[in-house]
Amino acid sequence: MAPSPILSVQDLRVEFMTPAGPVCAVDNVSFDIAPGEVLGLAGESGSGKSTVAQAIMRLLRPPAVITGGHVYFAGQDVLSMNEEQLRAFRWRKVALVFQSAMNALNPVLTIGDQIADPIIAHDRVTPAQAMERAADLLKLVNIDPTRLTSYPHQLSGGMRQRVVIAIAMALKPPFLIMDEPTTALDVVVQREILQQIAELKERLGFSILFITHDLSLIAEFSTRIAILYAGKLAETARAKDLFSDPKHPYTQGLLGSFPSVRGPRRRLQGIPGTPPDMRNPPSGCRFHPRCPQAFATCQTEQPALREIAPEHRGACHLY
Amino acid sequence: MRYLLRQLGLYFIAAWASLTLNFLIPRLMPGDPATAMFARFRGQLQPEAIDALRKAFGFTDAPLYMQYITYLRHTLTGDLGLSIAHFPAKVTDVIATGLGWTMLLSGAAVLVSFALGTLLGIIATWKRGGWLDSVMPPVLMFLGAFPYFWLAMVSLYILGFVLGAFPLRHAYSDTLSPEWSFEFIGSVLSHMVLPALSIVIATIGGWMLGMRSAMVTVLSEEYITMAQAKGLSQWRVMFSYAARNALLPNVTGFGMALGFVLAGSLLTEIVFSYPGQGYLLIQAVRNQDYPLMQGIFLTITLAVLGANFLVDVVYVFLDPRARGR
Amino acid sequence: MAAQQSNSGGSATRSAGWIRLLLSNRKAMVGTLIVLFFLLLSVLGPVLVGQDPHAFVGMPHEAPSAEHLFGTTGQGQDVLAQTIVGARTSLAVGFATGFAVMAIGAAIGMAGGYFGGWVDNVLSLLTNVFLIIPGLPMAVVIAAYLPAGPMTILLVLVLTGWAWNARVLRSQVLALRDKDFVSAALVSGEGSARIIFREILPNMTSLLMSGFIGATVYAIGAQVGLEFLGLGDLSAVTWGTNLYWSSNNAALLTGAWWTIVPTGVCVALVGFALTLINYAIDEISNPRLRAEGSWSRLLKSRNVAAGPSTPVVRAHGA
Repeated sequence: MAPSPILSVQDLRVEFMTPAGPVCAVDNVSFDIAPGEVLGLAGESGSGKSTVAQAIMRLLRPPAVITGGHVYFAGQDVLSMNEEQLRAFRWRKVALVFQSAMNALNPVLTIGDQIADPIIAHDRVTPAQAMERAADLLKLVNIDPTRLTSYPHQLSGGMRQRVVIAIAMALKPPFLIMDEPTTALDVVVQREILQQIAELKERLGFSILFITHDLSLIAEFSTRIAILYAGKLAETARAKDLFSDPKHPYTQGLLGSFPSVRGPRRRLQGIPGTPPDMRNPPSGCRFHPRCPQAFATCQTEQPALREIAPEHRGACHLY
Repeated sequence: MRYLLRQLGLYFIAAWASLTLNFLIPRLMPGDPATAMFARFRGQLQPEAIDALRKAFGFTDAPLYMQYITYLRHTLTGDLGLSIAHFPAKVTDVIATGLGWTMLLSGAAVLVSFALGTLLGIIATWKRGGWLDSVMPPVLMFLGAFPYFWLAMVSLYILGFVLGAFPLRHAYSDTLSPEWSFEFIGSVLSHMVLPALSIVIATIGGWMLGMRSAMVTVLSEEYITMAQAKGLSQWRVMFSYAARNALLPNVTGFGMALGFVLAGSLLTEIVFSYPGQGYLLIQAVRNQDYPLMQGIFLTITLAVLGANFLVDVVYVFLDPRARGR
Repeated sequence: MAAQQSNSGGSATRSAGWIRLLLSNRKAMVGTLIVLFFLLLSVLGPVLVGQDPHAFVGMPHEAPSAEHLFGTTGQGQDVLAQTIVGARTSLAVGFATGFAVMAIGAAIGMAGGYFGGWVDNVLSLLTNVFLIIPGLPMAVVIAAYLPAGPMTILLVLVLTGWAWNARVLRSQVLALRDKDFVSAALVSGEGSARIIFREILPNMTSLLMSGFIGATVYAIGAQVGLEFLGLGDLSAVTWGTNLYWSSNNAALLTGAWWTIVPTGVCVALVGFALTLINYAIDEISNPRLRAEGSWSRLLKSRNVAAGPSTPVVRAHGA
């Protein structure tokens, strides 16, 4: 690893306390993100992607409990922060772009209030100054500042998502988590939003943890990619290595299940079977019931994540 | 605006329904209550006058629809007949003596109870598992299980009779007459404390629990997580984000509960001989004063419908989404 | 409030499991015990008392003593005897009214929700109108024209109380109609009656239960209120008439608190116990509420405060 990472997640473990006992949703997940880097975190729905994102900011509420690991942000230990330290850390250091803007925006506050809110909470400014900055932020995402007095339900889906991005930019944080920021939108708007994110990153130079279930979306955009399956990392690699030479059968399946951007269109094959029930995960490798290449060991032994090629790690008994 | 118009339509239908019920009830009852009712005027009125009254209120041999038209004409022109208990006063005049007192007492008690209960609900959710959250709900639930008028009797006994801290009956001291003086207003306020207190005690638990459960629902919304992620103060998250949204279903519930709360406060008035609608109602029941009873029913229904419309206006003000609907 | 169960079929085993859950809930246990106590009292009461509760047994407004544990009324009757005997009519009318309110509300609400169209429009309008017209003055007007007694009270309380359940159950039926197993039954051409009784009703047990209990709480309170106003049968001994007479005899202004306290406490205990059971039903049928108990216990046992941020609990398995 060349520069010291801005975010370092080590052996993170998140459990949900249910009446039937704890359910482990994130199991010993580790990754580093360097300044300016974009890490794509991909997996099917229910794999624990969003849980990782919200655990980093300590946003999960009970019954979710962090039961192990460390999260360091620029050397600060996030898991040992108290409420006031967390409040100051959030949004100033790490901002989060939510999946569904409709649900993430408060329906009874104006857009302006919602953009100005974090500015007032973190910077010593008057409400009028905060509102001025809010207007600038709207311009940044190509929305007319007269919209400051609109309510969320008065905007289109694409506009709402851009408002959510504008809110994330409010304090110009060095790090952004994007939790499927475009899934709720149609393809054309998706393109526009991604374009916008790429431009903003160019101008402001933040790092991104980009969460998605759609690998094609982050192919050209991310520096490195981590694949999450059933709460565990299956594979991490530089983006181009992962696409040219996927090691884990699950990654191979995921790549097979979307039409390639470049080159000949491959057949859409998908992965047979369904993601495991996390209340009762399979023994051994969690992917073995769906794995075309599984053998005896896979049923009994959990594979560890280890280096299988330069800067390419995988958790699979094949290597 | 469409939302307000639709609500207004509902209230007009409800008003018409209660007018019609008022017309039908005496006519559908077994026996001949109309005769019984007019029999009570005997000795107080000349037989000719009774006949005139019967005709005026449509208790005639004419077909039902003709009677209905006569009845509607009278009611809509504000003529509700004569009171038996307060003979020969008009029902409208009798009701007018108590309407202001009922609106003052119930209005003040309901608003205080709603505001305090809502605030307690917010604080209880904020401090999940704190004493307010774990001790208050069952205590208030238990207090809420007592009939309002019983709580009124107990507070009258303890605070009024034993401790002598507050006056026992009526709306103001007998030695005063209504005027805009500090002495009179002070007397009105001190007479209001006990009845209002018992209504507040009986109803506050409901508002608190309602707000608490609305808050719990709202707290699982994504915009709350977003507000937390923004690093806002807990104060801001709780009030501008959570409570502001949780208030909406409770405001709707407020309109619905008004009729119920009013029923309780009528009974409370009786305990304190408070000269409002409740006190008139029990006199009407004791004297079998049917015209007065029916007049009170109509008046209170209209008051509740009016209050509901006010609540709707407040709702539209609170929820920007309702403005477009 | 209560969430619906998600499938049909196996209703016998499910309701057995449901009852077991209810019994393992502390709130439900306390509530059930109190209600059972009062039911027993209302059945055995007159036998236990062994005397006419109307009998004049002492001086008016005698304070509680060994002879008269709860003292005497303004007419020298035994308060304890009147309280015990009063339970029978009050509870009988309360539960019967509660059941009728629930049944009629359910029928109207379900009919509207199930048939939809103009039937639903008419029934919904009717429901909303009855919800908004204040109940007590209407009840007074109707009761005043009818002969005083339990039947009159039952009738007026049903008339003024059905709408709430109708509204709740209508929206539940609307939600159930969209469920797969109901759609499947509709497509396979099953009759309306069969769908309602086989597919929809079994999935509403918890709502019907809490509707019944809520209606009973309302009925007991409203009945006491109407009787306190003097609209009950004044020669009968019920909780409401007990309070009517003590108010009529100016009991409080002579300091005879014992004439109102026992009755009020009984009414409140029954109401509180029923509300507890309703709370427990809500907790059982709403998994989120149930889950909350388990994690808050865990966090407490580790001395971790449940604040707005994700708790960090290390040293797993201790």
